[in-house]
Amino acid sequence: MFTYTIKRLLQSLLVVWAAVTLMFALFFIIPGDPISLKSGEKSLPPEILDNIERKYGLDKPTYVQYFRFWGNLFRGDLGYSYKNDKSVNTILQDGLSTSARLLFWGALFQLIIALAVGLTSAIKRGSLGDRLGTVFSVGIQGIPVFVSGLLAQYLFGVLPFQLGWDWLNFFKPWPQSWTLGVIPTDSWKGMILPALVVAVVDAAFIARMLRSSLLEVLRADYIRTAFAKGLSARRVWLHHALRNALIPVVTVYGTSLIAIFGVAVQTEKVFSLPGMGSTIADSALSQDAPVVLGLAIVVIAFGAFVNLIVDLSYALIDPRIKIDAKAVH
Amino acid sequence: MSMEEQIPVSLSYWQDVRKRFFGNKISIVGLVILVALILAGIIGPFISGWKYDELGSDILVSPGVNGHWFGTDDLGRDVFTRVTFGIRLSLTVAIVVTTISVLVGVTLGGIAGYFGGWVDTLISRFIDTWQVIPFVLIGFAIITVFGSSFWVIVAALVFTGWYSTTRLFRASVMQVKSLEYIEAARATGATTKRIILRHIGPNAIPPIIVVLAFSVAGAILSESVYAFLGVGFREPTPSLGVMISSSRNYLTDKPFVFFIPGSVLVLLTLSIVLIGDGLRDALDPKLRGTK
Repeated sequence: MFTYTIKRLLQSLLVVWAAVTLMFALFFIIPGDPISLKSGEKSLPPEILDNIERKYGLDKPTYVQYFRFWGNLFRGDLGYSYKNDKSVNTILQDGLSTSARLLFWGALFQLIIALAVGLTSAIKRGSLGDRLGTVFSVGIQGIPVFVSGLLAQYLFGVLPFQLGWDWLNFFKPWPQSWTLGVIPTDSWKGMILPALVVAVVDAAFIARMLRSSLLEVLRADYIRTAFAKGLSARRVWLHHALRNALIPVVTVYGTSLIAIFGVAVQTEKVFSLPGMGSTIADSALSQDAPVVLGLAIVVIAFGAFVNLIVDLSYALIDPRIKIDAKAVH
Repeated sequence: MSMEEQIPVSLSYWQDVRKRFFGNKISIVGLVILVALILAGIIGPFISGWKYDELGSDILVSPGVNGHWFGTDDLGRDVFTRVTFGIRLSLTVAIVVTTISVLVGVTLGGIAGYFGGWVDTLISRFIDTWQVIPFVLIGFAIITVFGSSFWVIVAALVFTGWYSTTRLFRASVMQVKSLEYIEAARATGATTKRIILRHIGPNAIPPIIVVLAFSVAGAILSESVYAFLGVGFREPTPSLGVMISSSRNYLTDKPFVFFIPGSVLVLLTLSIVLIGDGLRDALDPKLRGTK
């Protein structure tokens, strides 16, 4: 297990390096021109242009820029924005706190919804709940995040406003008396709707995956044996079936965590949240390369980390994979 | 499965697939919606009486007023014409993107899956790398550099979609490769080319058909996401994403400018997903003879 972990860790580092290099190539070599961003339509005297180039190190050849970039990165310096000279570290901190909150609640809601819907529809197979679950999970796959985001805004913002139903309005704080004044409702209420929008997309897919994986496991002989031994249904479901059904689900959950960034960009745009997603989108549009690259590194590292955890958790869930890994490596 | 439900001997695999696909109510619903939308996309722009970029003095009128069946947008353009044109655009882009992605996926995935070894390692590690980069960023980079013409958007979408088809096809080939009848074919002295074309190919086709359906739906979604974020097609091109993006300001007063393109986009992707789901069940040989 130890050598396997080390090997996978090194692989992840390699992947991060390659991905960051690719991003560097995409955003730095081709465009990335701070001069036109600063001057706009005006023509500046050549001395000033030279100064700007020197300031961002753009007068050096690309490979020097590349090594400098890594050198600064190891010192924890992500550089400065071309547009407003703000430090990328500051921009990152601002965006990260919003995005982290959004994605944490999103991922948590996602897991809860997926487990609840998946387990219920597998246990009560063919029931009304199961069929509703299937319709819901197929239906949600056809709805892009920005459409469901706008729909949520309409249903829980515009409509309650027009009808005067303040209790349904997610864009106004609920009265303090609801929580007896213990929890301030205005600080977290604005996050519920975006987090649910983030959660619902892949929750449906994971739930379906869990359902079919559970149904397949249930046909196995050891489940029949477990029931025959007289174990309670609850014990068989949770200890025998769920654990074996989880392997494909973990893969899907991992992929969906990596893809969650694309979801976050759209959600942050729709709900006008000042997170990393909307910052990257705006910076990419204005070709502010240092900001895009600095924020992308975090997203890439997060993706590689999730991949690593997914791979290592296989070994925890299914001991057979650990043995295989030993035999191969 | 009980003894009474045994497979009728007379049905071939594809006959059985057809029977099961058309016996599935949900996939029929998907098929009907898709055909209706395709027809609307083909004839809609001709019969509406407006051009998609024709500005008018009727601004944000409700559906049905002054012969605008779906109303008009903030520039007085006919929403029906723009939506039907949008269906045409979405489907064209998605079909072109899927064709290229599947060709890339079949070639790279086939090579990686069949030969294994260092070729497989190289391709797989490249996919790993590509996978951790969020697809929006790749699209942003390509589109901001090369502009937002039709072929650049197609290229950006292929770049974001190629690896999932490659990975799926690689897994599919590897699975088929290790089966006994391939070993038997090799033992009888069949050449590599013959094994790939005659033995592995036909058995790997059913998963590809399913992937095709889902990647068409995926390409439609990605195209609309790019358009919504401002890096895909731009005004006045009537992409559904562009229409939804510009409808945001009117959500309170004129929600129909959001709901019409929004529901068309949802119906379009949903119908394809439903067909894909039906195909997956129908093509699964393990479910043969069942309903």
